[in-house]
Amino acid sequence: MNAIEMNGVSKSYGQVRALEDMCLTVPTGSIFGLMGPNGAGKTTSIKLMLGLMEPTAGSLTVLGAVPSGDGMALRRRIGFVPEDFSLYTHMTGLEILEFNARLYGCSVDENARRLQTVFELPLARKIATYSKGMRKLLGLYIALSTEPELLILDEPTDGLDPVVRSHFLGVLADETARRNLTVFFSSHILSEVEKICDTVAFMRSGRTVLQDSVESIKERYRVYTVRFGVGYSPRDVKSIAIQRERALGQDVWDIEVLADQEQARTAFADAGGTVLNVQSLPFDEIFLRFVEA
Amino acid sequence: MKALMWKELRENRMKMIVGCVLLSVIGVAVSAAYRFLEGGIPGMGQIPPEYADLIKKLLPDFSNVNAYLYSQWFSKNLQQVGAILAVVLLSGAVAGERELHTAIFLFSRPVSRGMILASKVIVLFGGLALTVLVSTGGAVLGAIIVGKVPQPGFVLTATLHSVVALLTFASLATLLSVLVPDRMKAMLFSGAIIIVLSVVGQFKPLRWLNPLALFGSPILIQHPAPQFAPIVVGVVLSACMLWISYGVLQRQEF
Repeated sequence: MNAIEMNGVSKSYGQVRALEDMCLTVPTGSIFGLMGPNGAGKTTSIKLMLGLMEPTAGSLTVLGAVPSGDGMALRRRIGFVPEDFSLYTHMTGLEILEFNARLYGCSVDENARRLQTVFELPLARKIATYSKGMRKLLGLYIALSTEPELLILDEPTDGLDPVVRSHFLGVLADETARRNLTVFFSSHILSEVEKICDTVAFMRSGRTVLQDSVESIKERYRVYTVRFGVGYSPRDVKSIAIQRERALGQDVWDIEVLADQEQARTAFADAGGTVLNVQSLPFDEIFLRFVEA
Repeated sequence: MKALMWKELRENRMKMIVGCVLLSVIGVAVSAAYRFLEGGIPGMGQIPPEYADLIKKLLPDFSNVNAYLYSQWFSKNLQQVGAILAVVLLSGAVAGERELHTAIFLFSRPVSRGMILASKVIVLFGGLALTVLVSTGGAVLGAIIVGKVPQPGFVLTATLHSVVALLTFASLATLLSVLVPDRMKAMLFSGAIIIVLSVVGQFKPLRWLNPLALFGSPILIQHPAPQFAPIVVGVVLSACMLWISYGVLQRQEF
């Protein structure tokens, strides 16, 4: 069963199309990374999942429910850390935890108390005195304290220093491993997505351009140096989609494709090509190929 | 609901306490001033009669303590300071959450938007009504201290009118707070609408537009019974504006 399913979802703000025919499948129990440059539509996708907005077209289900219809009941099962948010600075850390728990219809229980040993936050202090990193950690603490089935994090480590970011990701990985939690994570920091996510989707201009596991993407995306016979060129390669091509000489090309090696070699051979060399690319380079294309 | 109300109370308690104390002090001072002013202004006899008549028109009505309280408290100080307090308190209700970036946190919790708005309205309207009651109590106390006891029926009726009027202003500020994402702009728009309607309502054919008429009229001094029309208009207007606020908030995207 999938935790999130988006099929042909579009969202417009007046004349501006934030999402266009977006499709996404997040398996239950996975750590899913949604990646894309600023303005790609990541935050809009998240707001749609939470029922804070309604899609203009398409269908969307989260934990088997339709967010725009069952928003309140659905949000009870979700922990959410927004990207650009503030907490009530007049409250202490403990007060905001209690306030949040009461909104979820529960109390600060043993789980929340156990998390205190993990986060090590000064809960007796007012939030106004917290650093940016402490506030982000408190946001994650709040989201985890109500035992959600799905955790949605919108650019959670944006602007954090490496020490706090590492602590944040460590806590997230540990807590995810402790329970059957699905994590939906939006980010443009590739190293952290590569480190903790099972599956990723790349977004560009409101569309998903690729969804696969991190390992599969790294394994299958290759740069092939191919020599084509007389009268042949990359245009003759039919059975695989070429991501990028660059002529090195009169009949030698560098061709980037996302395909199994066997399949790629067969496709080049069918187009009159001979593979001279195969290279892999770092994950961030692969991401750029898709979002800049 | 209780958690939301507790949050509103904590967030706005200083504004409510300052407003209540300020208005109460003004109430006591206005009533206490009666003793010093009722004998007239010293040296009034030396002013030429044509100017003296003009000045007398501008002076408070000292014919009795009820008239004095109506002219100086209910239709002046309470009206003006209370209206400012109503606008200040309610303009930030929803606009403040947006401006301080807490809206995304609040509206992504498993509570309905109607409940969020209701908790704000209950706490802030309650605080405003309490401020009117406490400060009017101060004005009555001030009058008793200087030896003048106002008629209870008049005080209760005028207070009822004032509460209805200020809650109508508060409803307008709530609506603007939902419509405008900026606290200061919501405040300025609400204030501007009240001022413009008050000025326009000074002209006889447009008197029905005057929101200050909700505070009742001098008739209350002689006949201390609630005036049906202003109270119904105030309640209906408030209900409509709050209903529109709810409808708009339901459709808004965060």
